[in-house]
Amino acid sequence: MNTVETAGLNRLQAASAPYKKPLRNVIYPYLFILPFSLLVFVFFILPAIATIAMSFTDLNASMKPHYIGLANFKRIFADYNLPEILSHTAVFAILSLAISLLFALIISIATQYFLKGKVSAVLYRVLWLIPSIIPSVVYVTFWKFLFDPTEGGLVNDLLHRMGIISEPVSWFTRGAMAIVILATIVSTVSGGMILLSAAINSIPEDLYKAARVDGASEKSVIMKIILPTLKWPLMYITISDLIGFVSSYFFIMLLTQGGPMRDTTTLSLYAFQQAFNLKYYGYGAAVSLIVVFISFILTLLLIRLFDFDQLIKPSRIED
Amino acid sequence: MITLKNIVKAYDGKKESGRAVDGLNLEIRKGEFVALLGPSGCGKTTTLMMLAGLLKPTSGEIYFGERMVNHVEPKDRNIGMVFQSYALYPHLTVRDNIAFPLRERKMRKPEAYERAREISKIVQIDHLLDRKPAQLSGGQQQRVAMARALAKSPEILLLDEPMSNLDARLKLDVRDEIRKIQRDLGVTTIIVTHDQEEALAISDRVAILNDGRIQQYAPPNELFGQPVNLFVASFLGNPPMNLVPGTIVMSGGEQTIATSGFQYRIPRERQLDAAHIGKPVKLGLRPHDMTLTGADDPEAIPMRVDLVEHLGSGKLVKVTDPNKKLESMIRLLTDNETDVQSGDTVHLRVRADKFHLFDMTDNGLNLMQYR
Repeated sequence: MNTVETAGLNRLQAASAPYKKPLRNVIYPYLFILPFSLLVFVFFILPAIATIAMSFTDLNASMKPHYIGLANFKRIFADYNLPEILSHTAVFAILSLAISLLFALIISIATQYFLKGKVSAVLYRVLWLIPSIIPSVVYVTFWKFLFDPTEGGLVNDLLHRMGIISEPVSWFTRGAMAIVILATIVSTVSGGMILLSAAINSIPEDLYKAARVDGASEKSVIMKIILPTLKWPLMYITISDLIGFVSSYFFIMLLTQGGPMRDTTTLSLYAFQQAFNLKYYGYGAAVSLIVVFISFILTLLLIRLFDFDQLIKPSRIED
Repeated sequence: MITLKNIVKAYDGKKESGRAVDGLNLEIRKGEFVALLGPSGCGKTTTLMMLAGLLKPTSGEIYFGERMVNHVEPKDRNIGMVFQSYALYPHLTVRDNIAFPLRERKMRKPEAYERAREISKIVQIDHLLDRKPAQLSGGQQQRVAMARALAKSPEILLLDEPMSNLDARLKLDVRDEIRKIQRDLGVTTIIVTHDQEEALAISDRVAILNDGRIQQYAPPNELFGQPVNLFVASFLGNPPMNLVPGTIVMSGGEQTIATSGFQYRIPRERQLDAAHIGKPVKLGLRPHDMTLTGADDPEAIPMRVDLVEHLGSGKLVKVTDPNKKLESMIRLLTDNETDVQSGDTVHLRVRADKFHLFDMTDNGLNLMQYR
């Protein structure tokens, strides 16, 4: 059959049978997805499978894995460090989340509602963006310099000049967790701030005008107009930040290496240390799976808490 | 009574050109229904916003009764307002939306809800009280906005293009209802609209605005029959008024309008001041103020039919003079029984008491006296 005949046949079929997409059109969308699917598979799905597999082995520096069943997981729950590390994780995640959410909320309401359209509002938000723009290593170095235990540290120097302290204070031994949380918050606030500001900005001007005509107080405007608008962005920020805090170890590692003692060691940092400092790859993988499990449970809880069903439920319009 | 005195609103400082409203004077009686009508950018919404207190006039005074309200906050003006977008609070139910202004006045919840229910009955949405605005159709949202505006029994109701988002059929119903509610409650109402039909149908008086100034403020009939200037005449009416440029000349001892296509003798009782002779004018003829007569009529103007359009209720006939000297066609309305075809020669008779003359040397001021 030559091509002309094929075309004729196709036309005949098109006339009688229901329309069928040509194969090329069916394949097209998948062709576009393919390269990225490969990347995701190689760098995301494969490592995930490998981690799960590893957690059931005693893989260590010798690189000779043996299947040991649930021994790694039993070891975690028997680990005498676990309660301390879990409580550090909770304190770090909950405090960081609460404070950065509050800050993001206050800043975006202040700049997008009270100071809407003012240059100062824009400048202020740009200021908050700086910590998330500069490289993490530089950022951490700055915090280290700020709280340096010697006289050269910025805080020590300032307090000394003001005559509040006579001897330099070793901040990292006194309040390592506080410093870690502070550094984390300052760099996370901007993300939530951008999302919340955008959401507030999408509120039509007429609503504020109507509220003024109706004699609404600032409190009512914030509670009944602005905050309800922020529900979904808040849910997204809460979940993504919380997962981030539960599984993050980068700042802590650079700032304190989990010290002093284990004062700032969170579960994910512990997993990292077990796997890459002590080379207990199998055990580290098991601990990181626990981190994933905790994140998963928290996400489910939050979705339920925010009543996510409401968002995907279609609205009804009838006359 | 509401009084606006010399209101000026300049958006960009002192620049003359930046004036949205430029020396506006208006008086609205208690219980009156007044429309602010004009093309977009004429300053009508700005005027309404100043009445609401959402904008402050650059200069001039606004009085509600005897009280000067220039610096009174919107909530203290005892007004209700319906926005073009309705501006319903999306996260509150219909009940809470209507009760919102009451709750903000510290009215107790059961009382506010009872009042919300009463008002919702008036606008016929009492079955929708538990819905959220997103679950309502456009017409229902409009009613909720109306109910919210009326909830606190305002003295003045401000409507900012309240019907522009409704379909044509619904518009007619809503129009009647707004008018009925306004009559029943006796609330002074000011509506902003660019829809002349709506303005003329619903209001006691209409203020036609252009370039931030009131062109004419009168009852609908008067606006239509006795426009003070060219702007009002050409803005109102559909199909629009025919405007034929010409000059006033003396011909055989009679004042006559000479256009490029025909001459029209001004009847005795509508003679102009002699000062106007020789000056350029525009002859204004509404399409329904002309008739077709026989060739034997000495007053008739012979014309050739160019085009006939069927409008359903009648025909729109477009004619020019036989020599094609007129710059534009003249439109006139006839009934369906009149048999005209394009190419026919017809005889046009102008109703002697209904034509208008606009002075082209004086911003199109209407020269005719109406008695």
